[in-house]
Amino acid sequence: MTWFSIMLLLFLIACAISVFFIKRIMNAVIVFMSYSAIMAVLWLSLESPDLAITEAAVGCGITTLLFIMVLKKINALKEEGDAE
Amino acid sequence: MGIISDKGKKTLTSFSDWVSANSPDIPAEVVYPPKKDDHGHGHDDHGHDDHGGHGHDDHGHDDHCEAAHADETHAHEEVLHEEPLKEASHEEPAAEAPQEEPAAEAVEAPAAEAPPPIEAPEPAKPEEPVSEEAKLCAEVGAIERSYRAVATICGIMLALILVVTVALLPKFGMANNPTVNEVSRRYLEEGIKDTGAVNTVAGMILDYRAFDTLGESIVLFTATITVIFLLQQSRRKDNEGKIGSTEANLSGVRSLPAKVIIRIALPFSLLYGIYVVINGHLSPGGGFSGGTIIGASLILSHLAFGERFTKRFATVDGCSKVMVAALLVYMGLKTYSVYTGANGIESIIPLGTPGSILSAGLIFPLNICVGLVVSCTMFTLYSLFTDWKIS
Repeated sequence: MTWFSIMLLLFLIACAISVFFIKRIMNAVIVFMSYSAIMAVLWLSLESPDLAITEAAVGCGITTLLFIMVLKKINALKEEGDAE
Repeated sequence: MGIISDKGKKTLTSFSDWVSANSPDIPAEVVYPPKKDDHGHGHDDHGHDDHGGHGHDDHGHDDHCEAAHADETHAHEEVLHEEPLKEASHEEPAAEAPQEEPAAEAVEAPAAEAPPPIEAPEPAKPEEPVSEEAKLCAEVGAIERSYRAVATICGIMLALILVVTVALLPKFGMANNPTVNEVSRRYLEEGIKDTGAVNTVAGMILDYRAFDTLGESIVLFTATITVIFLLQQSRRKDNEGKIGSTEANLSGVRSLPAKVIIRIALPFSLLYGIYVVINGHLSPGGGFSGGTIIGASLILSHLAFGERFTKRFATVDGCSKVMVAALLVYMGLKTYSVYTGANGIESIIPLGTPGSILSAGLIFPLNICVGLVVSCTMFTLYSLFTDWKIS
């Protein structure tokens, strides 16, 4: 395990914990997206590029899109912006 | 929690029945107004006990106050009329009222309007049920507290069990692990010969374990169909109420930089998705990842160019037809391969030379089918959730 993987894993854990504590939903979605991006790099370093591509496409792309879209649909983003 | 509320409700209902039965000269409704007022004023005192009827109670109280300013008798009537409807939500406050009444009256000055209804039912109220109710409330509180304790214990136990299970797992990468058996060796050594796919993963998921992949595609298909069914009802309502897609949805994103960047990135991402799907048996990727990329590209096109443009080549109805067709083709191809001898035993389909684009037998068309299903799923979910009128 190289220092790079250790750094990535630490970052991964930090992301996973901070998603739980972040109050604003939008920020939580973005941190969740970065979690997926790190996970994709980790899959690549574990020599499974198939999973890396899928993780990047699904975790970073589609899931984030759907999250933001649904948040927009239920007006969660607007209320947050007003509150802040 | 369900047990607790049910229990409380049952006993309380019997209490109100008991009151109305034992004091026939006073209507059952008259018992309630004071409690409501008391609850409205002094809800800080016992707000922790009833979560359900809180906002409701406040509302009822406001109504009462407004009406009282106008005409007191009328207000009283109104309260009486309201009560039968709200009985269910007021049952718990009703139980506590007798204890809290004096405190509320002493503390709250605006309670001056309330006394008339308060004092009316009080003499009629016997003392025994009060203590019963107090006991019950204490019991409910105790159950709630014990519920929390039990939940905490269960959570800790679950966490411990999971940690112990993970600790008992065989060590990662050891030679005598159950995962390192002849199956994986066989896949790695004979994979190219059996399936003709250079990408062993594609050979595994679309040849050895094609049935699993079929199940996964059907899961996606079922999810899409469910969403279509669920949202079709709101779509119908929208058509009646004329609340539908807005102008923003018709013209796409408003921000110009985002639009330009999407327009530049769109062809590349679409082409890359098609490449990943078609090259699935040669390079990493395949139907799932490539299909997701294509679906994201379709979504991007919808964002950049708006609904009118995307509607020309991608609609919800068209997507569901494509999905059904792709699944049927998948099933047909796999059935054919099973009947003619699966797993390379006696295959009629030529495997081709490993490494060329037209090789690996059925994996190539199967990848395209899976890619179609996944991309259509992604796009359908997106367009159903954004504007329900895209079809």
